[in-house]
Amino acid sequence: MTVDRASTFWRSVDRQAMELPWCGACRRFHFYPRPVCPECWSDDLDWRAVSGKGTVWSFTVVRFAHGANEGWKRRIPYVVALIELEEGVRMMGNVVDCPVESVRSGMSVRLDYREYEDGLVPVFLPAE
Amino acid sequence: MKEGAVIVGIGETKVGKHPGRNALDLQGEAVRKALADARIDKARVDGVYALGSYIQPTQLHGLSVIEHLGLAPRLAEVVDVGGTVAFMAMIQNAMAAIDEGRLEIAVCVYGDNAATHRPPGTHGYVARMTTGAEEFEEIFGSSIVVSYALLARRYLDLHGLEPEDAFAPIALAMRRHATLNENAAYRKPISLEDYRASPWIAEPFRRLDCSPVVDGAGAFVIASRRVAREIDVTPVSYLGAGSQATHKIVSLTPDIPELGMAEAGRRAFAEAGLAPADVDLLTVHDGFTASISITVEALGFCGPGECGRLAAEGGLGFDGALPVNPHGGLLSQGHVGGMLHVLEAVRQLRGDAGPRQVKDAEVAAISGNGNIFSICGAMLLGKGLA
Repeated sequence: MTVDRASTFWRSVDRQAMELPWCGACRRFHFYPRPVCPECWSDDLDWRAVSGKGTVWSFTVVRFAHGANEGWKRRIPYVVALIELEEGVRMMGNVVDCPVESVRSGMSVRLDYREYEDGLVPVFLPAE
Repeated sequence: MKEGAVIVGIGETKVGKHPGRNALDLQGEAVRKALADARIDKARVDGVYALGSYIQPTQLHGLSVIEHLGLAPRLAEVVDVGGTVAFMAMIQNAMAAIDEGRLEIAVCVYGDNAATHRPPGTHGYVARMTTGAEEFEEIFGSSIVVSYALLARRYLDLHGLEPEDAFAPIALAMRRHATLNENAAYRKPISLEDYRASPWIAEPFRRLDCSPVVDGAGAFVIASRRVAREIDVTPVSYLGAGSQATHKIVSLTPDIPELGMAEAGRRAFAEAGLAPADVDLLTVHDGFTASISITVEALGFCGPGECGRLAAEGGLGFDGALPVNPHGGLLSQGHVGGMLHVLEAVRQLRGDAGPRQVKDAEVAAISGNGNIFSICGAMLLGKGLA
């Protein structure tokens, strides 16, 4: 896996102000970032900061790690979730700073940042 | 309904562990067995459709296969579509080429050695995630199991179900079938207590919800009707098929009702002029128990959220109302990419399935998804020259 820390997205994460590409032609966000809007193919993309508000669309509590997530053994149990952002896109992220048993689909979360091995990453915390 | 090419031979290696043998060697064995089954000399093969190893990936795999086996076909094509849909694509590509007169006899093959040759730090059937966009998923401790677990959680939430009701009966049904298949890797009977005692991997999946990787290969032979009439085997005919791609990584998945499976099924049934009630048995690409629930329901074999109950009532048994994966599926035979799901459908339609034979099997459906329901497909096959 290569994380392109020099990309616009990861630089915004490093500033703790995550931005997503917004298409000026069809006026919507997309994620993950691609060089042209996957909807209308316009390259008129503007990077905009997100509100950080989101909802858990689905989640899993990971209790066994091997192979691709071998490096995560020491973090078990951990939560991987798909988060619907207020901006209308869905992204994957870890829900942290709460008991894994408390995570539910539909719960409100807010964006934060944590230092992982490869640098800062976006994470999600219970909103209440 | 096409009046075209038919499936005339099948072959599979032992499913399990083959230390010291690479995927090409396993694929070669499957091709030799399939051609022997069809009683066709290798010199007559003029088309090869192959999918190479995901564990030890190579380029130009079709040429590797022909050189390994001493074949000299007109065409040697790699078909990398995803899961069982790849083998449906092989069937369609080969049949189209034969129907158009470009080829007369084609072999289709896949096999891998995931149990004994998986490099460290890789997962399931794929080196790393290899799904693209890894920096937006793998970085959060994702994997193939995690991706499917996210879909499975969504499925349970949509229908208000618990895994013990929705998924356990499916795991048990597949294992019961594997006890009737000498070429299944996991044949020890399991109970609901065993399921409950099975450790969590990624909730809602326990170990028994996940298919084990194995070494193995399968191949089938497709030929024109003219060739089929020379051969003393029961041919299997194409009746209809459909497929639909929607995304690649799980972050971009449509919601369960909008996955491509329902559309794939509608197309397959429309082309065949058939309905779910006409299907005598179904093979489903079952990387996970939830794969069967989602697929069976999307294809209209039961209502949304009902597959677990159907399984608990014995409905998915080879002797039930809707036989699913009489060979034990990926879950209990072992994960050979779904290739053996095609072979089992052919075997059942020929009436060669021994103790797990579905009575009076005349129409079989093959179904499955590639990657994480990223592409979905369904195909209807019929006994004899349809």
